[in-house]
This record gives sequence, structure tokens and C-alpha cells, in this order.
Amino acid sequence: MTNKINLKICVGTMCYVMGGAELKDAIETLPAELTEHLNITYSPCLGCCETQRPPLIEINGKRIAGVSKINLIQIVKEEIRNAV
Amino acid sequence: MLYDNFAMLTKRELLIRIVKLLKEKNLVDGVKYIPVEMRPRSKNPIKCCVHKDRYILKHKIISILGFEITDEEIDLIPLSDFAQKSLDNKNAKENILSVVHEACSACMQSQYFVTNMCRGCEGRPCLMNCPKAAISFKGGKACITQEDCVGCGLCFKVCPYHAIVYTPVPCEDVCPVKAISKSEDGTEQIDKSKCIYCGKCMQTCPYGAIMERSKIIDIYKSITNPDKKIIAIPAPAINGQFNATPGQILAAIKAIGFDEVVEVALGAEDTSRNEAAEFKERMEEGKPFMTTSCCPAYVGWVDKHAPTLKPFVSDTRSPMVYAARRVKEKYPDAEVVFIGPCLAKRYEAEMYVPEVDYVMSFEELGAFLIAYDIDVNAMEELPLDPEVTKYGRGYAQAGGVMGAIVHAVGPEYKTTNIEGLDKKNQMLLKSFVKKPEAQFVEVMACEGGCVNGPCSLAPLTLAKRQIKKALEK
Ligand code: SF4
Ligand code: SF4
Ligand code: FES
Repeated sequence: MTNKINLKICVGTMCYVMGGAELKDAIETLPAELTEHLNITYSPCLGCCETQRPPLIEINGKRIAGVSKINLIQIVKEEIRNAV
Repeated sequence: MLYDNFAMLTKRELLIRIVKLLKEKNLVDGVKYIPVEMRPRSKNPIKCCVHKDRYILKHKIISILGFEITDEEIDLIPLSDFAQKSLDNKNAKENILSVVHEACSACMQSQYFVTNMCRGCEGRPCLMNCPKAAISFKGGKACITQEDCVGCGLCFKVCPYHAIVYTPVPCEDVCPVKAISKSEDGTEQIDKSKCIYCGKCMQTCPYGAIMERSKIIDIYKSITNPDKKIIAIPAPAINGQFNATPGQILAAIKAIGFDEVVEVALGAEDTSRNEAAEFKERMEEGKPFMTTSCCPAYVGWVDKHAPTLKPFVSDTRSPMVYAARRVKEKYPDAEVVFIGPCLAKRYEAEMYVPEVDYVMSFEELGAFLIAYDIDVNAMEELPLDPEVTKYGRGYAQAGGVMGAIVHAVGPEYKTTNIEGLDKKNQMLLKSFVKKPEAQFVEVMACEGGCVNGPCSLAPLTLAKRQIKKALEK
């Protein structure tokens, strides 16, 4: 696989306090066989925490709200499976 | 553990909404809409119906506004009146920690219980292993006579079908000192003479029914009062809480409207110095060992549950005290706000530290940062005080105080650190009176130390990594 998946985790204060810290923790401890497919960035407020449930992520341009640690890993695996 | 728990998020959302309303100067009018906005009809109710859910939120809001929630009169007074009263400084919540009775679900008395998965097998290991003969068979199924059961859990362990379950009362299960128990109506009550304010029950209750006293209204009023100088002193654990550098975090706190921000780590330098001197003196006097005293939950435990240890606890004051003193020396009229992850610090500040005017939790700090639209990670760094070393900042984690003392007195003494006050550690500590394992003993009531305090924002594993980064600087 040549193209990496762009994964953006919102660490704006709202997202971070409402669960984003947990996402950062999960991503930082992901095994290498997953992270090698990912291009991980941490982003300031994506500007939608007022209307959507934090914490938010963006994966290959798709925004997903109300993400938990467990479904983040599922989302990542799913995206990797679709890409190969 | 924190975020897998929606009750925790509910508390945070309430704090955020209340601080936002304060900032918009709309608390009195806006507060009554919070329950409806957070529990709209379109969502599935958590308890029996949406009205009960909203009613519980009302009670939690009243608690955050600073009122004691056991009063029957609560039903007669609208939320706006509570908001007005607390803005007028008429909130006089006495207890640092209280149970929101409406929210407490009065969990079933904890017990072992045989479910209908029981197949009444021939082996019947439950019957065979029960030391109290509490198990009998009725209609081919096991049955526990609750009066005889001593809760040893052997039947639960040996059942090959996992047919026996344990139904806990979560808050009672985690309390290290049995300070929380059922009142007559089945809801929980906290015995102040036993409670050491470790915060475990508050962290654990799956209904978020145990709430601490909040001072956010008073803090907000001081921050916005141009005639008052107000200075924040964040605990060393702050460096693990955000995705940002220590300088950025200080800048973010200042941006809320504090006149100055002074790291408690600066006070930790004083603690290390005094504690090292005290330790050496005690050793020279031939004392067998000395324990730290900076964790107020531990000190509270000694006071209330292990008085024989008292002579061995150091008399040196905590970093919070020294930091606050330094501030008050410089600005005698300033108000000092300690910002930390700790419930017990509220108790310590109130009982023993007149230099600290308010205590604010990391969760409350998070609410302020959000309401004031402050992105911690985007802040311009404030310069750090060169007097603060990595040993002072190291107080954030278990082992930190020990590290600082070893650095000061040299390696010739035997040292150890104890994190958490579970049964095992309580026994171990008590045994030190007769047979100490080390000469210098650091004790933290929280596993991992203050980074894992009950009001922290970041999960422990992440916070530890972020602290490590901050200390490397
Ligand atoms: S704060 Fe700690 S000591 Fe007090 S009731 Fe809760 S768990 Fe028990
Ligand atoms: S270890 Fe730290 S956060 Fe926990 S009770 Fe003690 S002082 Fe408070
Ligand atoms: S903080 Fe994440 S979208 Fe605003």
C-alpha cells in the first residue's frame, strides 16, 4: 500500500476534555502494524464542537463525531482494510 | 477508565455550560434551560423517563452552584434563584463531598447471588466449598441464604458455569476506609469522621451521584473583579494534563484572567529542602523512619485510621502551602487559587491553609478554558521560573518526592514509595511502626501519584508520557 491514511485527531480544548485525551492515549500506543499505514496529526479545534458531539476526528477527510477509544481503533482498522 | 464513563462526561458538560453562562453574564436566566437542553425528548432516557433525568441534572447543577442537596425545600425553589443566591455569595455548602440523593440509585446491597444459569450439577462445588453452609438446593438449583453468607466469594470462584454473580455497591467497594454506607432509605451517606477525601467513590459511582463542592462561581467573580488581584498556583501534575508544553499551559491559565500564575512546583522546592533537613535531623536523633506529608488523603488516613503512625509523619508543609506563602508574601492582598487533580486538597486548604483562598480542580480548569475559547496548544509559551527544577516538577508522580529527597540527602538511606491506600498497603504501613521497611517512605493515596488524582483530565498512561516530556526540557 503506498498511500497512507490521513488521521487527524482534534485536540482542541473542548474535544480534548470531553474524551480526546483518551483518543490521543490510544493512538500513541497503537501497534506498529497499524501506525505504519497512518499519517497521524493532532489538530486544533476543527470548529464543529458546538454543533457536534466531541471528541471529533477526521479520517481521510471524513469527519466523525463522538468517537470513543474503542470505536476509533475499529474505524482505523476498517479504513486500512478498505484501502488495501 | 475516565471516558468510558458517561457520568464523568455529564459532570464535565455541566461545568462547561455553567462557566459559559457565567462568562456570558447569563447564568441566572440561562441555567434553567440546561436540563432540557442536555436531556431532550428525542433522546432515550437514562432512568425511567426524561423528567427524572432532568430532575437529577437539576440537583447536580445545584451542587455545582455550591448548595447542599439534601434539603427538601429544593423542589420549591427554581434553579434561577439558586444561581442568583450563589452569585450573591449566599452559597454555604458545608460538606466537601456529598451524595446527590436524587442521582444515587440506591444500589442493591452487595451480595453473591445465584442466577438461573445454575444447572444444579452433580459436582455442586459451591455446596462443597462454602465454609458457612450458606448454600442449599431448592428445586435442583443452588440458593444462598444471605443471613449466613460472609461474602468470601468461594462459590463464585468454583462454579464451572459462572452461574454465581457478585453485585457490588461500587462506591462502597472502592472506599478504602468504609466511610460510605447505606442510610435507611438505601441511598449512600458519607461519614465525615472517617472520610479521607481520597475521591475514589466520586470517581467510581456510575451515576455520578457523589459530587464535590465547587467554588467556580466565587473564582469567576474574583477573576472578573478588576479591584482584586488573583493568582493561580497549578499543581505539578498539570504538566501531564494537556497536549502542550509547561510554558503554554501557564499561558493558557493566565489567559483566563489570572494576574499571575506560579507553579506549585516552586513550593515543592521548599518542601524538598525542609523535608530533607527534617529527615536528616530525625535520623540523627535515631528515629527509625519518616514518611512524607504532602498527600492530604494519606495524612487524613493517619489522623483518622492509623494514629500510631502519627509520630513518623513529617512536619514539613506541602508544596501548595509554600507556594501560596510565597505569593502572599509578595502580594498580601491577592487571592490564591490552587489548581489541582485532588479532592483532599480542598480539605487541606480549608482546614489548615489560610493562604489558599480557593481550590479548583483540573476538570473545572478545563471548563474555564473551553468557555473562554482558549486553545492550550496554540498559546505563546510563558517563561518558566528558573528556580524550579525537575525535582520540583517531579512531585507530580509517585516516586517524585522520594527522588527529590535522595537528590538532597544522598543515596546512603533506604527509601521506598507507596502508591495507593488499598488494604494491603494500609497493613504494610501500619506494620512499619514495628518494623519499617525503609527509613524514608513516600506515600501517595493515588496509584501513580497526583497525575492519577480523582479530578484529572488525561488518562494516567498519557499523563505520564506528557510529564516525562515536560521533565526532559
Ligand atoms: S472520598 Fe474516599 S474515603 Fe471518603 S467516602 Fe469516598 S472513597 Fe471513602
Ligand atoms: S496522591 Fe496527590 S492527588 Fe492523590 S490524594 Fe494525594 S495529594 Fe491528592
Ligand atoms: S475542539 Fe474539537 S472541534 Fe472544537
